[in-house]
Amino acid sequence: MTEPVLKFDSASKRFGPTLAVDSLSFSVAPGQICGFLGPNGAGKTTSLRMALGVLSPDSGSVSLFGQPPGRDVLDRVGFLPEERGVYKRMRAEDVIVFFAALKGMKAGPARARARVLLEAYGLGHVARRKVKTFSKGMAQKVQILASIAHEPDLVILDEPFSGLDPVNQKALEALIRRLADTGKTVLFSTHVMEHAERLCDRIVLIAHGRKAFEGDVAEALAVPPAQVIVETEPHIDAQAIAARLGASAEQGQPPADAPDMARWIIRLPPGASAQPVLHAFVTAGAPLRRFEPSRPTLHDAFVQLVGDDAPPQTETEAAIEEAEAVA
Amino acid sequence: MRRLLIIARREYLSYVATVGFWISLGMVPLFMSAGFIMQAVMQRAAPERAYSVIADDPRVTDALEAVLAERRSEETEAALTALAAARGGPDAAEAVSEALSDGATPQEAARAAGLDAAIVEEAQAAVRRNYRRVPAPSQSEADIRPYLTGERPVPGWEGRGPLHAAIFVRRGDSGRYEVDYWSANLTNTGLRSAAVQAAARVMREDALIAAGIDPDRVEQATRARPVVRDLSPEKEEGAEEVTLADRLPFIVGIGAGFVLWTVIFSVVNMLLTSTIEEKSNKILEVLLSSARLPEILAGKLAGVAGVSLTLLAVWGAAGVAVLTLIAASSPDAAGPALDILGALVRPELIVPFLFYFVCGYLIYGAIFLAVGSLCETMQEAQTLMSPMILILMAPIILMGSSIGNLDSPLISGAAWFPLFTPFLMMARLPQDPPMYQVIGTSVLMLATLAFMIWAGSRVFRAGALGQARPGSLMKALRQKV
Repeated sequence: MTEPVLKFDSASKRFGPTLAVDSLSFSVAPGQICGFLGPNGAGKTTSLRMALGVLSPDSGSVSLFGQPPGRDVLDRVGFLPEERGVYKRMRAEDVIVFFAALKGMKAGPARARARVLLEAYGLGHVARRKVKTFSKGMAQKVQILASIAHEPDLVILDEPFSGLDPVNQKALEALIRRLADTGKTVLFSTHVMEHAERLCDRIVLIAHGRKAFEGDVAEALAVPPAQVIVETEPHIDAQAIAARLGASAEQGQPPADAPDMARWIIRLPPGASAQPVLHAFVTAGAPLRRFEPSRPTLHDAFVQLVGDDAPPQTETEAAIEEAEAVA
Repeated sequence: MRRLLIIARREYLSYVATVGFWISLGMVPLFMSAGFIMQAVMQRAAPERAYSVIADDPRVTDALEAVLAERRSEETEAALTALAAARGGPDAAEAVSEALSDGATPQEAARAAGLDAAIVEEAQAAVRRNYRRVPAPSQSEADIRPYLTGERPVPGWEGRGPLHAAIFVRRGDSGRYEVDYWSANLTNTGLRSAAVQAAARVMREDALIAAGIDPDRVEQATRARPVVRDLSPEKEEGAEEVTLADRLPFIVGIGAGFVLWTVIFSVVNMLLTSTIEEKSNKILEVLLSSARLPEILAGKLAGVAGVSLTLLAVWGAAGVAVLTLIAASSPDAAGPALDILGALVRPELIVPFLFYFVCGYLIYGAIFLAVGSLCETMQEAQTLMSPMILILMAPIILMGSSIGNLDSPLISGAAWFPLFTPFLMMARLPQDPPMYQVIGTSVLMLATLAFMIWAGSRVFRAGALGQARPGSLMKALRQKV
């Protein structure tokens, strides 16, 4: 069996009276893109700091490449903190060289690598310019490049998409995929489910410092029930039809363009498909104005798993749609 | 070690590789020189002021002229002695001083010291006449006001300012002189004190005559000055006389204390601002994931220490270069210049200076680093730094007010406070303080240094990870310390 790149084994961390991380156990296999999800204050950043050896667990253990996070293994890790910034009075190229050198690269190769990366990500023409003259997006790009310049085997990104515009979010998604394609392992924390759903091979969800879920995206999507939106005549007893299939029906607001109709949200039992629902309504002679099966999203799974702590979804969805439209 | 050097190098270059650093490096000695030059220029540029005396007794007017002339003469003699020291060294200055004490004229004193008589003209040119008497535009106190305020021009002094002062001197009922000193200038008191001295002199003369004593003989006796020799019991027998070279170590010691303070105060602020930048930009988190805490702290301290050593090296080299140039270009000035060089380039000065610099820098550096790690902005830091700035100001105030009394109990006692020790002991060392004080203060300072590094690194870690804020400093200290 392949040794995990990162492994948490019942790791706990307490700050005064607050238990920030509570017996957290999970592992990340080589080459995976692992989403580390959770609402704000769930313990994501504390967990990542333990992974980086910046904090030590009070109990349990954390290992990187089979060892405690120490000097030898940390050189194989790239890290991008949340709310990031860079030395503004340094040149972009020098920033990357500095952080790569701290990770053990020699100055010459680090400079060559910095130039290649800056060129590849559209900053070649400003490589010798000071970061203070950059736009926010350009400066963020420099720091992202600084975190991967030493070609780490594991890249840990704390909320990497926050603060990026939709175009740069998309570019970062592409970068993460490219890292995985070259055999690197990526662990990123986020509370934006759309990125995780599109990128992750594996998901670890924590809430209140405890692991709420660990598995792949398909497993996560199986957690919330599939649902069907049905619009029909008000006299149709949708609840009875749903009950016959082992599903539940909840009445929603009537459609705005047809206020005399009824709207129902039918929640299916785990593993059930929408086909029997359609058959049941047709058999019952219900005139259907709308029949729309919908696949649960990771956000639905998130809501299901963490309840009220789940963040709102709409803003990020809009951002991604905009990015896709631009692309 | 490699990471420490990388962090130190970045920190060092972030300051030294900027044009601003070299400009400010040059500005400090430039401003100091400008300060001296400005002082001299201001002295020379002080306007000549007109005054009038309205006195019943013309002897008072004459006495005032004489007092002012004597003052100018004293200033000329002081300038002559200083010029003699610069041209011919301490021996020439002493010869001039001795000759003047014996009643010699400045020209005779210059010749006695083996100097060209032209030096007297230089000395006289350096001393300006500050006050000139003009005929009183009015004999009445009631009518003199417009001339003093500039509303009316002073006859014979038109276009050169108002009447600086009108001095009314009359004998009172008790027989004593009464001086009414009218002037719109309330801060320049030189003429006022001269007027008082002149009136007192005439009164004394009258009293002496009344007592049957010849005032001229009294005046002559009053002017007699002793010949003074400064001797030190610590010098070899036969060569006990104190020279400029003997005094220089004390002067240089005080200067070193001031320089030490200036350098430490300048560079620890650099540590503060760079740490705040790294904290607010989350760079500290990346550093912590790449290097150990001691490497980060030591790297930052070493980098900024490098900045201060560059500062000292450039200033020191510039000073040595200027003194060497002076010594080489003017045989007259070679003696004093070489004396100063000798006082500066001594292991007895350099070794303690480096010791106190390292200790002071590390103590204050640890404090400023810790404070920087707690703050996201300079505004936040300023709240915490106010008490530290007051503490840092104290030794400079103490040194400034006790230049001649560095062995006083106040300074000796203050030197035991570890945050003051580097500066005060540096200044005191040439005075040969008791060995128990040197060792005791050093031990206390080193213990404080160890504590500051220990506590500072803990606060730094908590601050860097956002687990402590300025408001929770005391709480963090209680938790961590």
